[in-house]
Amino acid sequence: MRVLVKSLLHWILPSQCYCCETLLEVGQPGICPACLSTIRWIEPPFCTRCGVPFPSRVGENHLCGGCLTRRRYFTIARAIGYYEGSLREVLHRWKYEEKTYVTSFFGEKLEEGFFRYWPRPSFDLIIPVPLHPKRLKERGFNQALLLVKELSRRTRIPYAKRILQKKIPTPPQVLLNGEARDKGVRGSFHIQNAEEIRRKRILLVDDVYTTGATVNECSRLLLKAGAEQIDVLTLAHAVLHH
Amino acid sequence: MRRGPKDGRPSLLDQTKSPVRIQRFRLPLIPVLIAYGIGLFGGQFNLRFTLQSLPFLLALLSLWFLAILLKKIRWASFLLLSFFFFLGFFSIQNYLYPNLPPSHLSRFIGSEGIVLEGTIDRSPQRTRTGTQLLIHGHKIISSDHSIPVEGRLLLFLKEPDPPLRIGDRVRFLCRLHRPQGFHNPGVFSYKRHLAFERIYTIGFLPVERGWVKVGEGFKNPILLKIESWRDHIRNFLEKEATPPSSSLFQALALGEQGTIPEEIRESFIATGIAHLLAISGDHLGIVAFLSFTLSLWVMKRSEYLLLSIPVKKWAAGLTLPCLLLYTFIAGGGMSVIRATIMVLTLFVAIVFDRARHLLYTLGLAAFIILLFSPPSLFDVSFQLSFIAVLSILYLVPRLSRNLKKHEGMDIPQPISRRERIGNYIRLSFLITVVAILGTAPFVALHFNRISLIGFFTNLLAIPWVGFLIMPISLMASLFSFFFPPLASLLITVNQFFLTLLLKVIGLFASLPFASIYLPTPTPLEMILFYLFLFLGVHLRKGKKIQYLFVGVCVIWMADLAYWHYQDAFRKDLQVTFIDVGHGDSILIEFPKGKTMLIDGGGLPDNRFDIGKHVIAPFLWKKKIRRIDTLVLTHPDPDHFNGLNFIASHFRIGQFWDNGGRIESESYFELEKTLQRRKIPRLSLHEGFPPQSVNGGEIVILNPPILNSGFRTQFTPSFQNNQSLVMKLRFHQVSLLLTGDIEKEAEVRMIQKGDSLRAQVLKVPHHGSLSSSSPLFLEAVQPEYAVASTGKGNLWPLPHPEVVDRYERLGTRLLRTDLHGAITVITDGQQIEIIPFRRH
Repeated sequence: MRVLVKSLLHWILPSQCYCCETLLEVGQPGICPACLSTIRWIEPPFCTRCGVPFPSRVGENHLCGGCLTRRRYFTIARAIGYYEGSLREVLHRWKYEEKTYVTSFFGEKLEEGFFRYWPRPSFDLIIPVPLHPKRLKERGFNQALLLVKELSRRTRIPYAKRILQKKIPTPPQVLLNGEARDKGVRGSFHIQNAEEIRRKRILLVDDVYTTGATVNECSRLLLKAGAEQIDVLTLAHAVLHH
Repeated sequence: MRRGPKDGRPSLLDQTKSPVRIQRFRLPLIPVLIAYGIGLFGGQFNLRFTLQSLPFLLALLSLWFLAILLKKIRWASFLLLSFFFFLGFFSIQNYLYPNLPPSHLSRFIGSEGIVLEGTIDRSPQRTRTGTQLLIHGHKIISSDHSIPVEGRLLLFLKEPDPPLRIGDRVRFLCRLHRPQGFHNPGVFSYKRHLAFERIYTIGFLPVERGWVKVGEGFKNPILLKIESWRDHIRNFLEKEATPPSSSLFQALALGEQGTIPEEIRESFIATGIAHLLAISGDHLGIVAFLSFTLSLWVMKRSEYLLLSIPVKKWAAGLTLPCLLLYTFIAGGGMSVIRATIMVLTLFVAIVFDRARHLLYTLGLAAFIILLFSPPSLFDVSFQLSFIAVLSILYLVPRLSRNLKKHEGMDIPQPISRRERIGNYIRLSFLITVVAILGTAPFVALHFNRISLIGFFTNLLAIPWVGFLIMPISLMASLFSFFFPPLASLLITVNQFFLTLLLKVIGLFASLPFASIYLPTPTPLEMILFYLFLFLGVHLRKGKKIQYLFVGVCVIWMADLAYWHYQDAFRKDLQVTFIDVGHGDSILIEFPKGKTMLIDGGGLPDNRFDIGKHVIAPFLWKKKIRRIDTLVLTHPDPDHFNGLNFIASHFRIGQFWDNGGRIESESYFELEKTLQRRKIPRLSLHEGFPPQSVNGGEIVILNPPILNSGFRTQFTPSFQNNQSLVMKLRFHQVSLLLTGDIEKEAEVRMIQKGDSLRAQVLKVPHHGSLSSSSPLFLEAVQPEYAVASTGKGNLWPLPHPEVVDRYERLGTRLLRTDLHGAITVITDGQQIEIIPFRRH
């Protein structure tokens, strides 16, 4: 019966690949095999701290140069895939063209990664990296919050949407380099209801990790407000090419 | 979208793209839609199928199910496609060639009036001349008993605003008619138009208050409520706004365009914005857009809402009730419902995240509409909205991609306000152009008229009406229920906006070449045009497309050349007696492309322009745009009322008449047109030398030389006897064209010793007993006689006695009321007669 309904729905409104818009067959996931194969998932070895994958495909996980020199407030940060190719394209469609139907696909991937990186999770709360209200009004949704909702639904860990807030608008991070990012985001966040996070283990979620400046600043604030530990999960990791 | 390889990893991409399996019918709905559409199209031809349609369809369906069970996919698809083909075919056949039961109203069509009782099936529609009621028949009452009947009757009342509602039970005395159309090749058929609404019977109530309300049938409370809202809004608009504006507000809010003055409608048509007058996809689209943006804007004010709910979907959800409310207030007519289905489908697709392929969604909407109402396929408004949306969805993204240099998905850069306005204007211009181009072939097909200025006026008028006048009218209508002062204020402001628009539109409409009239395009031309557009946007795709594009252009040129020179090579002579109901209109096509039109039909009260709606479309269909000689045999309304439109919209070489003039407004209008267009005018009489036209010879036999001028003081019979009588000779073949002459003129010509013998005779005076005297027929000895008569006429013509006279002579009598248009083709030796309808 379910097959019948499904094929009828397919018959009426067939689904298309999120990325290249070719039509999909019944039962295929939301992204076509061709596009799926161009997504590079993050595999070891990567930095034990910030999760940046190393170019060499062999060797053990170890700390990266950045994490040795810069102070990281989060315990570990992990990402699901490389911020490039189809993943980058789908992410952009999702974020800038409001194709919010990709969210569940991302949720699925986040869930997989989440349980891979934290086989025995002990988080009390998931918190999204916030958007400035002005940006939120422009866009109509907070992409990090959408991911958080998906993940929370799948892992049954509660989430908080308004504890961490953005006070000062900063230019899109993608346009800046590392140094400027650290400076730029400093002091741009704000915490409300600090008691709600006291002694909590928190998973901070965002869509893209570039230099870690944003999540680092958020982690700093959260720790200062009394959180016990901050881990970070992002959908994509932008690996800077040298 | 960027699929190209990046970062030097091309091989990976290319390898993975190719092995994607091509499944049969990846878009399963499209072939089904096409099969169904072909079936619907084929259904209009009367093939007199005696197949039992229902068992046949059920059999196909069960075979399909069997094939699915047996996993014979190929068979299953074939069976499914044929199922939908026959479904379409039979449903149209069922409308056009129905098997009506013996108790159907149409079985009581006859010369005698009957007393009928029935309920009103839809809210009374106002027209310029009165009111139209759709009556669902219950019983026919005679003195001692009543007969139950079924079927629907379209009843025309004289009073403009009868106190009747949907669901009322009325009784009236009325003569039933079959819907009459004019049976000419390629011309709109009123009969078919009504048959698609399952109306096979019409009636007129000649006197006011010719009906009695005998009770109330079942009334749907919801419909009744909506009806009362509509009444309220109508009264409000009529009270608060002055006539020309109020009629337009009513059109926009209630979908009632019956009271829009003809001049305003004409100026809207000339400037290509007539689509704004009829509630259709664009209106519903605008309502959807406005309520969506408004609710989105309101919800975006709250940060809490933004974080808690997907505001976009909620806004879309809130839009649905607004859309439905508007649909009902707008009268829920078929075209409104169709537009709602289309807008709803697109909207639902967005809400349920299935909007990845809007073109496909459009196909789905079309499919739903056609399943729901098969005749929509033949409906102008359906065709135009569908094609407009199709071309916008298909062409605009491709064109704007071609216009933009780079493509790709990068982070949107912040853009300045000026840039944004520039983009907006560019996009609206593109959409306007594409929609006009896309619909052009169908506009030409149905209206023979394209507005050149429409490219510009639409850009102006659509936002003006869509975002100003229409929303304000709707708001005012809404506020008229709770807060009338604000509503009146809104209407006053709105009236100002509308007056401004009407002024500007009137100005544009008066420009020369604001709109041009086009001959009807052939199917080949329409296909070529669409190929031209399709290939045009894909020109960059490579050499093959470019060659094809050039090929299409060449064929198109050849086609234009063919139609241009086709007449020049004509060797035979064609005479067509056009079906104009009661009245005359005869087209003569001489060899090498000279044309003559004798008389232009016309109804006595001129409430329906025969010239515009019957003769001109017929000429355009034949691709005739020039009439070398326009002839008026004598100034009677049933001969000249249709000529004014022809004289003003075709190129006319010269005008001939019999020198008679009458005092009548529409006659003066014709004279004015002739003067304005500086058409040389000749008054003919028997003394006029024979005229030779490309091998044909015209001899004038009547009237005798007389002083011309007003002849109102003379009897009608005198007027008729003054008719221009022409004998047309082409080698061995002669035709005698007699106008409305009576016995007196007939005898006069015989006595004068004119050679009257002709193979084809136009029966004088539509077959009246006053004419076709035996002596005259003896002198002419026609093989064929053609009578131009109307059906369901006040005067049942031709007179039986006259028919007898022709029969006795062994002449074959053809009648436009039975045979439709009658074409006589001769090469100078042989005569071929082609009636449009086989009687």
